[in-house]
Amino acid sequence: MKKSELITGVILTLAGAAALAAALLTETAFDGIFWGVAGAGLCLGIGIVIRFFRWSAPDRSEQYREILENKEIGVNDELNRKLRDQSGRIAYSTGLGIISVTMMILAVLDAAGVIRDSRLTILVLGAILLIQIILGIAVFSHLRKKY
Amino acid sequence: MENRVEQLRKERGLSQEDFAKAIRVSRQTVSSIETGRYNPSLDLAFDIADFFGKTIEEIFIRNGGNNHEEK
Repeated sequence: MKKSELITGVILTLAGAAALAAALLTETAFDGIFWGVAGAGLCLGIGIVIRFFRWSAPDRSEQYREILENKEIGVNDELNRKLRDQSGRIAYSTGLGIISVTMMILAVLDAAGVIRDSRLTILVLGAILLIQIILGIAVFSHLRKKY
Repeated sequence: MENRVEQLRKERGLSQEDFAKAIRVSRQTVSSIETGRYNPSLDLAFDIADFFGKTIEEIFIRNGGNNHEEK
């Protein structure tokens, strides 16, 4: 494993420890964020450091090389790529549907007086929907020009 | 599309895993090609043909591909 990965692991661990200290020693409205950063930083950082020492052992270098090779094959495998594209398309259409339905439900509940002040949420969801559609069309035409 | 990938691989005494490594794809891809659930790209078809020292047509058989010639 590269030394830069160890450095990243150490930095993440230190950031996590600092956030943990801040969460424990202070009482502010940001405590929730501190706990979140502490958990993510410590788990990720310690995980990377452990992985570095585990795979840096000389007797494991061949095994690690094989794992990396398999990983690379898995990423570039054409069937995996095709399936990733397909799942991306399904997730995209489903996402559009979910946002549209959520907007409608919120609008109905708002009109019925079940919930209040949902206008901003509906507007934000509408903006996300619009951005997704525009982005989808723009990226498609950009890619189409390449072929 | 039918193919002779499994037959040729077995003739060379290779496991799906070894063959997949040699043509740099996953074992699942080899399995899907052999069972006909997935037709490889032209690039991969060439890689497979090169590996076995054959032409693409000798390995991949297009069902009904010659219909237009029979007319």
